[in-house]
Amino acid sequence: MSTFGTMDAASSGLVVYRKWLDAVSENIANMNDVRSTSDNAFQARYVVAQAADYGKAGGAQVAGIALGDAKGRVVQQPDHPLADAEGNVRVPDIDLADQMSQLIIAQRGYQANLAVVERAHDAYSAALQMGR
Amino acid sequence: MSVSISAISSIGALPLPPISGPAATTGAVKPDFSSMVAQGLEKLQATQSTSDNLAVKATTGDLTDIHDYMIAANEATLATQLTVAVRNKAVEAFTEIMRMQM
Amino acid sequence: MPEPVGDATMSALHYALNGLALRQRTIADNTANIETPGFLAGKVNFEDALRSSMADGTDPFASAPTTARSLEPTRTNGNNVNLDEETIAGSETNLAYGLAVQAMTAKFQQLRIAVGGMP
Repeated sequence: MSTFGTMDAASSGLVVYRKWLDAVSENIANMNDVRSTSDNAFQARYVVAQAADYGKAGGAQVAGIALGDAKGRVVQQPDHPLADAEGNVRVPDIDLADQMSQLIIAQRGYQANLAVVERAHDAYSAALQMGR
Repeated sequence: MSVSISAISSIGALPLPPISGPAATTGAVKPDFSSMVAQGLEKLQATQSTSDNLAVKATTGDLTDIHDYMIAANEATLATQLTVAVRNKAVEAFTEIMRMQM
Repeated sequence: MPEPVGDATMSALHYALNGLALRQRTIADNTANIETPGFLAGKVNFEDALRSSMADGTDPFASAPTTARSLEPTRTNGNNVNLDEETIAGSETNLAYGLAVQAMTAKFQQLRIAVGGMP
């Protein structure tokens, strides 16, 4: 509905930030996945956001999910069952500090969009009271 | 002595019948009362149809600013009240004059 | 059913109120089923039918508001209800319903003024 276009735009923002939060939580959950050196490591998820209808107030949308580096890091864990001949295994190249700061940014973005929705709701309600 | 009063064009129940154009007031010294009333009715119809169009646009989701509709609706209501008040006063005045003893 | 007392605009507003009420019920249904496996969100559309019938000058009540299932991608349990979207849509539907009610009130008010005296 473009009658309440402000709320539509904020709603699309909420969807994008929610997807970002999902991606970060998935990355953190899989941070210590161990695979053998013959497989790819767990690839970090990155949400690619873009403007929907750039120039006109259309909000945001997720263009896609980009995947991080498949090579990851090779570490020494000779006791691990998946270790290869040299005792190496592959772990994902995910930095916890980086993921935590992304988490905070995504949460702030989500809260900001919620505030926009509330303000827009107040404004529209005030307009509907005109003449009372 | 008789006073001639030009007839007031009839105001039926809604929907209002289309009003023919008002008597030419451009260049006239004083617009007469019936043309003023006719002009007022035209404007009233215009505000009412604007308000109707905007209402339908708002509910189909095509209206970007809902305050446009709210303003138009308030204008239409006020115009209706004004027109009805003018009609009532005019009818009162007419009745009063007709009751005058000659 | 076209209004016995009223005009095309009041017919359209009545149709819109029906559609918005149906949308509110559908949103409540979606929100209740947010964890149901295999549940696809319902979406109500009455604006298209209303717009085309207003453009043609026909009675909008000839076609009922449609409920379609959303084709958004589903999560692992087959459910595709998006809580953020449903919450915002609920808020918007409330506002739109208030707007349509205001419009009907204004139309009735104008009729009442014209029929006799002030409202």
